[in-house]
Amino acid sequence: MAMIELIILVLLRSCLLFLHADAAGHHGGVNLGSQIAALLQWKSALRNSSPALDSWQQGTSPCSSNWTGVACAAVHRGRRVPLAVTKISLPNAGLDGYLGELNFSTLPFLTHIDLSSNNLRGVIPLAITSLPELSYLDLGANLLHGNIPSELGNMARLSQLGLCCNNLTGRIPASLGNQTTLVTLSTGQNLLTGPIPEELGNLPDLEFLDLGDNFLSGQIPKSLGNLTKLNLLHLFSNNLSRFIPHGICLLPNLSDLDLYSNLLSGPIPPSMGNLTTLNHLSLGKNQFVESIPAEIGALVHLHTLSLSQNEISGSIPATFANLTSIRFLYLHLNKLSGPLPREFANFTYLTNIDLTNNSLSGELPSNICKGGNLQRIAVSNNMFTGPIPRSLETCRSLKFLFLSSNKMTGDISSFGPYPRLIKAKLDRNNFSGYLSKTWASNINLTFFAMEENMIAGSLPPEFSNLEKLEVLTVHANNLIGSIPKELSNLANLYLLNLSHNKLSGTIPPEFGQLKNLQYLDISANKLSGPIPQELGSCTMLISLRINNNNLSGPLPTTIGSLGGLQIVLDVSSNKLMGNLPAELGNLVMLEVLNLSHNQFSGSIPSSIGSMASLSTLDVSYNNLEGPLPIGHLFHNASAKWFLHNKGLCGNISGLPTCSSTPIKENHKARIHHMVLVAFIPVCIVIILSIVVLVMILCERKRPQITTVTDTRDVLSVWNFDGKLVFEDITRVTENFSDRYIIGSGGYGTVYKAQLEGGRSVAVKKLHPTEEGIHDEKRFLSEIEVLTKIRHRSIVKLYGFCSHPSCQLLYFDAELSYTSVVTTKCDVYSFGVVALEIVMGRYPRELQSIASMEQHHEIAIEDMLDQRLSSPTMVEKKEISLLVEVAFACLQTSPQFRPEMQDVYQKLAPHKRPSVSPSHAAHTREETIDG
Amino acid sequence: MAARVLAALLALALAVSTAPARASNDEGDALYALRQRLSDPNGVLQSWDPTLVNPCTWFHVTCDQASRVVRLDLGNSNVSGSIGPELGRLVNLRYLELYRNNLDGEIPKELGNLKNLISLDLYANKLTGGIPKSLSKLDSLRFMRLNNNKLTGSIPREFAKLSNLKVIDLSNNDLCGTIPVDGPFSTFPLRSFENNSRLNGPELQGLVPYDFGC
Repeated sequence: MAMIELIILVLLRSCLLFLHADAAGHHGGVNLGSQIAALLQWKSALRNSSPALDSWQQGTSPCSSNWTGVACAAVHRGRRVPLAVTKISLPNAGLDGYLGELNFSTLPFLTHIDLSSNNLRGVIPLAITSLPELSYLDLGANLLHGNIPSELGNMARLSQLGLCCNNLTGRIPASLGNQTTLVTLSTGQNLLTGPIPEELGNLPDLEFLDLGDNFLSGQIPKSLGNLTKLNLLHLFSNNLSRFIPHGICLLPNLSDLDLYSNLLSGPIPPSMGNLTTLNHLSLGKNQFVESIPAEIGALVHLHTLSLSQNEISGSIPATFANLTSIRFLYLHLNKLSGPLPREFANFTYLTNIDLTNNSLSGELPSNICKGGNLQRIAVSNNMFTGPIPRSLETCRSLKFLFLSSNKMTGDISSFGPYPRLIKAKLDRNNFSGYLSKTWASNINLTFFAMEENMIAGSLPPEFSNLEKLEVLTVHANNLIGSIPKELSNLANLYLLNLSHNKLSGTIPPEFGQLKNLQYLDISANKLSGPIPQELGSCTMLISLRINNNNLSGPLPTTIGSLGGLQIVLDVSSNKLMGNLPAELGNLVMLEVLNLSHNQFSGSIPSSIGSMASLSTLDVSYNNLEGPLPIGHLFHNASAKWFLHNKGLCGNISGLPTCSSTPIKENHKARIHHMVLVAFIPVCIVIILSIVVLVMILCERKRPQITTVTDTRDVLSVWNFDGKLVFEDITRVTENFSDRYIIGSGGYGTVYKAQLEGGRSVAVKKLHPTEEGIHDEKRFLSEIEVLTKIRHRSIVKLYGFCSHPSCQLLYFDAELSYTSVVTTKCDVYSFGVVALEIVMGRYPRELQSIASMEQHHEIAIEDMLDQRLSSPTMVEKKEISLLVEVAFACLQTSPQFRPEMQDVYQKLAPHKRPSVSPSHAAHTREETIDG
Repeated sequence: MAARVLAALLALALAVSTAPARASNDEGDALYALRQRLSDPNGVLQSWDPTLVNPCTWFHVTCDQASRVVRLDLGNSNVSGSIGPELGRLVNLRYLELYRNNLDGEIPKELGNLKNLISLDLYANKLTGGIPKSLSKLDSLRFMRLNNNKLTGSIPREFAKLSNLKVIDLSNNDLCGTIPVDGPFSTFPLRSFENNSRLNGPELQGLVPYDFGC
């Protein structure tokens, strides 16, 4: 009070003394002008000038013009009493900048600095520690980093030191123990390490010690027991270990002791019962063992008691009945057992009680909500029996009711209302009765879990009044009746589980309005009728289970709108029929799809092969037929996914292989928008792919033909209009008569096949090979790559046939320049592609020039793709070589074109050594069969 | 003396008001830190109460039997703001679903600490910056969908180590360089990378620099 009076006095006087201020400033070493200058300079150095500092103006004086946050006082200098800046108080003023920019050495009369809750950066300036008059320093809640200067322990008058909530590192300086004037010391919520200095026990006046939320380690120093004036001791959220020193349990003035979340161990000292002045005691989240000392019951002023998250065993002492001031009681996550003491319920002010995760038994105290203040009761995961206590049934203050996983019984029909109730979890008990309409009046309810009880009756349509409801789980009860369509009004509902009841009727089409629904489980009921197509509007769904009902009709195509489905789509064990919708293929995030035990017919849509995330599929026990789709999933498929169908076939063990008739695959031509930039590597990869494919084919080990009847094992054609079948080709080529040969290469013979309708294709029949084990998966994936290539200089692959007696590749032949196909055609193609890569466009005009040996006259620079930056000299040389080779390949007459072997040898030395062995091998193969 | 007591009380008030929530837990703290970063006009994070023992009753958070957070489902939730490094503390997380929101800023490298992560779905946001290399530490990862953002830089070549990766979608970003060809990348379709105007196609080991054009 004295100080405030003094300040007021000073302000009054400053009006009178304004004219003298500057003059006085120059006397007795007190230069107000330089103090003003320092403050103004700091203001200008701050990032964005805070409106709080608007009053700091050049030409005015902080001592006469009411500068915000600055106070002056008269300081004694001999006989003179000049004014000086003594106080800077700008908490939460939006200051952003470096604290070190303020020239503290020009402000030697400062007694009080409060710059807390700003965005001050940098380290704590050493100059502060030289302020001889400073008694109050609060720099809390800024962005300061670096160490705490040890010089802070050598100040004459410092009594309040607040450094909390910064990014300070290093140790707490032991020198702070010299600062015997300290009353308050807060370094909480920083990044401090090391031990708590024993020397802090030397601070006789310390009332407030907050070191919480750092990384402090070691033991709690015994010396802290000397701090007899200590009122508050916060050491929470550190790594302190071993025992609580006995001396701490004797501190006569301690009202707040928080040791939460450390590594403290041993039993809770019974001597804690001496701390009768305690209001707040938290020993939670440590490693305390054994039982709670009965002496804790002596702490009759406790408002908060937390012993949670320890290894405390035994029963709750009867002396707890004395804790009549208790508001917050946390004993959760321990090993407590036995019943609650009978006297437990006299807690008039009890607001929040958490006994979760113990082994407590017996009944809950009947008067638990006696005082009418109870907001949260959590007793889940214990062995409580008996009914919900009477006082709780009508506890109107209740916001959170957690009774899950006990053995509680009784009729819950007449509960409530609880106008403030936000979450109610009564699941996994033995409650009976029915869900009364009263529940529907708890309009603040967001979470209602009642699963795994014995609730009968129907689901009241009035539940639709619970507008805030987000989770409703009442599964595994005995609910009957239909699902009220009114539930569709629950706009915030994201999880609805009604499964494992006896619900009948249909799925309300109105459920399509549940725009936030993520989880829907209505499985294992007696629901009938169709799956409403409106369900496709629930686009937030990530899990949908409607299995084990009596649903009939088709699977609606709108199911394909549920692109967010991820966890599971289970429609199994119903009476669904019809074809599976191709739209299932849109569910690209779905991981588990169960369609089993229905009456689906037709074939499995090929689109299922494009469900990229699918890891488990079950279509067993249906009437499906035809081949399995193509896709990675089906390479590792389990045969049991497909059991008991009408005629599914495919190349997995346990399933018959598909019959000889090639089945048309509606493989949509996928157009890739990937821009193939005029860029050498891309095209070389394509060429390599072809070579790899051919090589794989040549390495294929031919299986033994064991039966005569099984002549065609695998036959597959992609991307054709459906008329191209193996038989046609065999017929039109007269079983591959030599008459139709148009060329021959190292790995196969090319036939010309004139199809019905006049269309002709080239069929390459690969030579039988003996060596190597064929990798079917790789073969298929390489074929897939080939079918997707679209380039005018690469022959288009229409399809293929893989069969023990032959392997065919079907190509468009229309792009060939001659009717005679030789390996030299491939050499020519290589030349075209190589040039196109260099030029970034189709080398139309250069093809003719090439034949006339005129290309030497064309500057490389004129040919290069103008979109790329100009090449270096080395690159230019390499490009020249490539161009040279390319032109050689473009010779009109095939016999003048080089062999690919020559091409390879010319280009190969320019590769870097990091080429992997496999790639190098492939490249070499290229030279053999082009 | 009176002034001194008053000052002490003021200091006490300040310290208490800035002290962290005490009854908390690491995963809850991490999620709460995320909540504080996000703007949540639809109120989907309203139930995220940091004073609860664990976040298992928070909406859109799924825990396993041991009360460890295994799923975070905030897809399509209209939240905006940045993803902080705190999420890297959810070490039990298996599904991180933050797709179709207005998230901006960078993908924190700390997400590489989520050793149990199966699915990383950050697609359809406004994320910028590079794809952290640290994500190559996600040994369990099966699904990585970062498409439709504004990500730049190259695809970390280390991703080829992700042997369980089954689905990757990096399309519709601003990535550059080339695409790895080893490991799981041998099977990914090119559409997973399309619409990255500066992405040049598959890596050609040894022939051109991996990050060609970056």
